[in-house]
Amino acid sequence: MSKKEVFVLFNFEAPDEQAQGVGKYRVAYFFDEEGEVSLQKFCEDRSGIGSDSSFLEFSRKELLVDFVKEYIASEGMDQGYILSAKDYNIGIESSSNGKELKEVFKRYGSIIELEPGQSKRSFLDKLF
Amino acid sequence: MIDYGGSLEQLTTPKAHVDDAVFPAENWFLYWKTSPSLWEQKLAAYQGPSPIFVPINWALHNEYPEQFDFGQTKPESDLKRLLDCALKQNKEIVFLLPISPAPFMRNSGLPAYLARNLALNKEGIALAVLDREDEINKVYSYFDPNIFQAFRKFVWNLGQYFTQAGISIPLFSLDVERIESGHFVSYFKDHSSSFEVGFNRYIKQLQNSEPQKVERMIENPQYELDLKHEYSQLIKSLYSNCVEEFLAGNHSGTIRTALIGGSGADIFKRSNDLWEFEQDYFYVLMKCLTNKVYPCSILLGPQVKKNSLKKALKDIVDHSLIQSSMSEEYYSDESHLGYRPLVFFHLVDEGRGFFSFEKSMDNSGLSYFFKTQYPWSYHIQSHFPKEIEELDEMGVYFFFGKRLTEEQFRNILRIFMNGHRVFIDVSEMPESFVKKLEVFYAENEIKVERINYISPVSKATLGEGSLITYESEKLYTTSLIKRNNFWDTMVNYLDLKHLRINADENVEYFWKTRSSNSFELSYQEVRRVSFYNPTSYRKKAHVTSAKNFAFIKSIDQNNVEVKSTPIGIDIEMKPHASVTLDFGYFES
Repeated sequence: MSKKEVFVLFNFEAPDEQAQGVGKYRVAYFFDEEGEVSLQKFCEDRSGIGSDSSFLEFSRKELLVDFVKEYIASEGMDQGYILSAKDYNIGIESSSNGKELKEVFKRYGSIIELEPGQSKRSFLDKLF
Repeated sequence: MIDYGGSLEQLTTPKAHVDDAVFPAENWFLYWKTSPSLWEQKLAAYQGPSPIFVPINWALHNEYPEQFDFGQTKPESDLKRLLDCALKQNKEIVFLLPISPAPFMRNSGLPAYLARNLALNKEGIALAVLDREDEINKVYSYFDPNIFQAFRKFVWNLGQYFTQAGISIPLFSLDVERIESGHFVSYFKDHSSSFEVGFNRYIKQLQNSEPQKVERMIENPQYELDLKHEYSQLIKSLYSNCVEEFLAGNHSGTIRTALIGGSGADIFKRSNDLWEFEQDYFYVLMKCLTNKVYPCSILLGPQVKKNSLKKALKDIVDHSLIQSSMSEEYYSDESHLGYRPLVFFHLVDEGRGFFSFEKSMDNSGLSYFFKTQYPWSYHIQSHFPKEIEELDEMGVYFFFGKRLTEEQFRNILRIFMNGHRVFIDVSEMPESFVKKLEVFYAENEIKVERINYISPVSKATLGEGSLITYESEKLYTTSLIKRNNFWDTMVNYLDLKHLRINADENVEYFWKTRSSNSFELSYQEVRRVSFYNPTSYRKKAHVTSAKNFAFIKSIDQNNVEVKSTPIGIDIEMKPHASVTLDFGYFES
């Protein structure tokens, strides 16, 4: 059986002079094994995310990683990959078909796995 | 086929030609995908709508710098031979020359020696699409000066070749686009370093020629976006002018086409069979019609372009749509007996600077109202009607007061005086226009009814014409239901003749209309609605009976049960089903 994975492509927006050194990690695409994920419901249940913007964005990369981990845990997934736009652009240069495109996430992205304490939620966990 | 005194009406959709790489979609013919010895045979077998679109593959004709081949070396680059094959088979073809990246071709049509700098979208992500053969076609920046220089040389050589070979058929510039977040975006648009370098050069130039613009940009960083747009349009016009100049004898206009499956997210969706669904593509297809952009399914493979999507493409991309993409007459020309999309509403804006019809429609609740009551039966136009005769007699026109010029404002009053139905959003409309409107009413002794219903509304009538003003800002803060009720009430004033449909979620439907013919004298008009169920679930739809409408027939039933009852037509659709129903409209 294939692994249940999530693929996240984000871009980093460098801070402008007026933003006092705070950049933004903005999620561009978020896919799981069923296709593009609508994160609206997930975000509504989780406070403090993208509250002032229609984009899902984070001030630090660690927060993005935490978010993906939480998603993986809540959906009972195995792992995820996050990939920056910059690395994606490098990866796509050498990709020529759809299969290779998926490999870009694995070759150039960072793998996100749950730590031992963060267990995946079972079917019953989701209900109760 | 039935012959109605010279005009032919097909009772069923024509049978699809065999899917192949040469005819990958609708009326597109890719000559480089097969041997020239098979061109004639392929064209002879083609049974789709006319004319056939033949995009010119720059990379094929200009493989190396300064070397141009139009059949001298590679037989597949002989465009004259291709034209002769078409003429021999009595098929009409037109050439399309991309003036933007065209990512249905490798390297988006760019010769490999020029494919250097990837174009980026506004998120900084490289632009690329997956084609129907699962190949990635990357998009390169057209802001690289080397590309423009090479393009200019290529077009000059193409023009010379056309003259020498005696090719006099029409050639259109082709602007290839996709939909991102509800907006049409050309693949020409770029945010890469090539663009930034060029833009910086432009700013330096402006410092000498128009320093006030640069000063304004420094004061207001938002203005930089306007200048970037201005620069982008300027460079695009260089490509476009080049085609007009060197192919003047053939150039017949520009066709805007949108690639279905060509958005940024689509490359990921389409990389996995489990992520790609035919229902995802209906939105793009329908949206093309409301924005007068020619839809193109060239990227989609036969595995997704089947069942209801295939049927919808055949129903929608027909002879009249092709003709309309080449001219401006589609929505207003009622002289022919062919079906054309049924359009009730025209949203018009020709103001300077960026304006989002979508945002404006969303905020005022119009989007929701159209979606539920008149799906895809509206048209967005970014040019102001020049002549009253151009206007659709039955259409309802929407204008945005804050973006009108004095002349446009006067024209709207003329449009109303000529018996047309007009809405003006008077939010932020200049005070002078508000006063002029009142003076106009008084001078012409026009009766005006005024009510306060969510927004202050005034309704003036003069003969057949009506002019309704409202303030969209007052609608923004109310609930969607209230906004929808507002539009329902406003449009009810106009007494539009239409059949109401209730359909399950994700059932798509689309109306067309045509004038009645000499065999249909009981009707003024025949309306055709096609239903598609792109989902894997059973779905239902119901057309409510209405005065002045009679059900004529159902055609092309595919996995559907249609029941006619006294209160209307019940449609039960199996997964991926489709059906078309015809209704006659008559004046009582």
